[in-house]
Amino acid sequence: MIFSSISFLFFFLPALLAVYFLVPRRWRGTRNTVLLLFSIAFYAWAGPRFVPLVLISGITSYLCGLYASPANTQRTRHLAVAICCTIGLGLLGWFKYAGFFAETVAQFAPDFPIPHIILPIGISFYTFQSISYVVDIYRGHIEPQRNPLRVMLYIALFPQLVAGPIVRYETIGDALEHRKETVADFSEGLTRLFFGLGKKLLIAGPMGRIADAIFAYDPSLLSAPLAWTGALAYAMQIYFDFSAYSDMAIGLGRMFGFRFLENFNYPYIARSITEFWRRWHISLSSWFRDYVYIPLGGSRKGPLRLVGNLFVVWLLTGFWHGAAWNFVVWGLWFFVLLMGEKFLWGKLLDRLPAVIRWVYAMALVTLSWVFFRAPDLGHAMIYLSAMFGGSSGEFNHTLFYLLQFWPEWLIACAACFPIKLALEKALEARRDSPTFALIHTWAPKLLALLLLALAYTRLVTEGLRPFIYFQF
Amino acid sequence: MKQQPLAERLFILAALLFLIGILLLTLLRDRDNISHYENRYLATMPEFSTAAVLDGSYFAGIDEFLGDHSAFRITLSRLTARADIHLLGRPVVNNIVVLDDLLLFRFPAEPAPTEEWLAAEANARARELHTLMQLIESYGGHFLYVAVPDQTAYFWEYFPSYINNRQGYRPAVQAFTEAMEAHGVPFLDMGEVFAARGNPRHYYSAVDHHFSSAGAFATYEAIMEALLDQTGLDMPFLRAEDFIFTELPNPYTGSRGRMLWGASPFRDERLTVAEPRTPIPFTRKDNGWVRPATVHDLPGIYWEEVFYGLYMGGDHPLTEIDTNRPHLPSILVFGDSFTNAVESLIYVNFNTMTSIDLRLFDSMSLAGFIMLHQPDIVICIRDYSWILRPEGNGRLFE
Repeated sequence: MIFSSISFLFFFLPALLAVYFLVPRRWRGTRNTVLLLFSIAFYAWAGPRFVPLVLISGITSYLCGLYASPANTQRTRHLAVAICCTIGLGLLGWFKYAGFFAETVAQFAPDFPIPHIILPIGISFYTFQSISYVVDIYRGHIEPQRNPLRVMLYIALFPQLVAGPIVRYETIGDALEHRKETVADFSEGLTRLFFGLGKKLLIAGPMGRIADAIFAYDPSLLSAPLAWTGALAYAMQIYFDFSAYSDMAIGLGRMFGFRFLENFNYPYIARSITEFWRRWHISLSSWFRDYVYIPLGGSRKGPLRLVGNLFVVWLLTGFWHGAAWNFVVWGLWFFVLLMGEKFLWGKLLDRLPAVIRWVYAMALVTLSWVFFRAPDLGHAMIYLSAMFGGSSGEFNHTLFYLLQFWPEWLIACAACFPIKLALEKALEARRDSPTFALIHTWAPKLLALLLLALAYTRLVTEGLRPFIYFQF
Repeated sequence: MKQQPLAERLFILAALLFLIGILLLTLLRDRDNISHYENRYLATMPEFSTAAVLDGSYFAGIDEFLGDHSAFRITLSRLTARADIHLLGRPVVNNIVVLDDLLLFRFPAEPAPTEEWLAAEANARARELHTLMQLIESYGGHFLYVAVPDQTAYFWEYFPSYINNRQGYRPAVQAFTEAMEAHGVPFLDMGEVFAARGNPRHYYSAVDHHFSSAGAFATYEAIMEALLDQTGLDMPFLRAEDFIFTELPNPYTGSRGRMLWGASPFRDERLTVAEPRTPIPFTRKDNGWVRPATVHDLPGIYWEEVFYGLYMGGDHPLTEIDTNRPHLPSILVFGDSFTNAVESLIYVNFNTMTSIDLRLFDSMSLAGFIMLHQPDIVICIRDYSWILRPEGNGRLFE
């Protein structure tokens, strides 16, 4: 089910709210059961045949979590982590990568059978949550949860089930037992949900239409301005699409008393690639840091090992996003840039004016999205060449895409900057004034309602567009 | 600070009222089967089956159904179109290029076809038409091919420079003209006729992809003159002064205006119907069934919206009009919807007029039908976007 769908907003959500809040607060277990059942139904909407995978992930996490705790022998604990990783990564490997590897082998051995496997939605996200849960228990960071229902709810909780953010158990473990739903949290969560909805439908959607149209052209015919327009539009689409999903997930979690960590922090204001990755998909980069990079030795074993470790992390990051060579190249592209900033041009970059550093970071990030959006590596290379004038330039309708979508371009560019935070800060500072206090109280809520109405209008007039990160 | 909890409660109440209100209105509203403005059937509730549930298509069907039947969909679509035109000034709304007095369709940019490809396709079509012509001439009949610009081709110069225009048709028409000449097939290019008259603005509709009543009449006259010239038949035909032209008061939204959900910024265009001053009685059959003897599907009341389909009542697989004047020749017209407005005029000059739309007619091949009925004159009318395409009304021998 998609958050920005009529079935979710006007049927699933009201039904869940009604059933959940009819259950008395003291019946925490019943409320959790309601949330779990609705979460399963939410997942089953895309096709119930993959529900067993979520259940397997939950059961594996629960059992392995119990045996991974320090109360057991070291061997048992090791085995528990190994089983959890084998089952989780095994399923992920089969559903996500078997086809890719078979196709790669088939290029050398044409008779090699290629399985046609449908990727279960969200498998990359809940697999990583499951592994982090068991590893955190193994490390002694958290206590194993004895109630299987709660572990299942942690894995299957619908706001973050299919497209993240990747929530650590330590973030919500306590809330699974002791959370307190409040009017303030509900209101805050609802506001966040509607802001996310607005971002998705009013910005990401139109930007996606531009990107889809331009990337559908033969890249060898694109003029350089049109190619850049397409790449920038996709840069906007993917940011507003994914951050909208995170906003909605965080907002929905908040409505039910959970507090998920932020997943984005204005990544497009970054002045280096290093900074960009501190601001983009924070839950994924911190997952790779804690469960791959640090276990490999991090930066503690000399510069050569550091380079090797980062290579592995970025190769896996690229591969996590998709089983295709363009995703691998996308990951390695960032590896090269991060290495460059660390060892070659980082100090020089620090001395440059902020605007130049920002342009540098934005340009390189925008180029990276071409690998992400292009259907294959060959297309990406021709597209990149077009961005630098290496094509015939027969298609040059840049002005159309700027004029046609001028409101969305304006809003998108403005929303990339922390204007909202600055406004909130300014209003906060003047809260003694009754007028400003009134604005501070009402403005976000009225804006959220307006966004809900506009988003509904867009939804019924243009239809559904799935979130990009569903495919991962 | 006390206003904060109150604001939160009011906000939650407003949001929940919105969500539940839309839910109830969506559930309780009357459902249509057809979307008039989108010219399509609306989604129906999917049929329940275990297989459909398991593969997710059942739920996808529900999403589609809810999307098509959600509350205020038409109103919001119209409001959005109005806002896009008047408030945001988008150059294209629902794929319609909105100009000061013209609605044009926006086509995506396509790579220009090579000259070799155009020549090969044009020659292939001309060869088929030549074979058809030989068939018709074998029993003493005559054939004429009429190419008409569609609205976007006619107004190609009106497109803003940053939007793909339809100038791209020109090489295709040029290649087709040369191929038809090379194969000796009589060919009338209405684009040339209109250009010689200075491409009068009123020859084409501002809101529809067809020509206007005036453009259709100019085409009718040009066809009749070309036929007289080509056949040498002594066949005086009715001129403008022989018709009574009546402008209908009904609103004419047109296919382009319809795509704007009725929010077109100009609504002054009207359809005109022409009837011979001296009535010519006739009988009419559609697909073998007798129907009222009229060539105009007139609306019942003055405010009812009319469409181009008013001419001949739209597209039919087979229409036969018999004026019972055996001394006059017979004519067969085949082609796309551009034929309709011309047919509503041309029948007055013939004993019988048969109209075939090969997109819909599948009882026999066109060639077989022609050989069976041997009409004196056969004309084909296709617009520029179709002249090189073998499907639809290019399907001559299947």
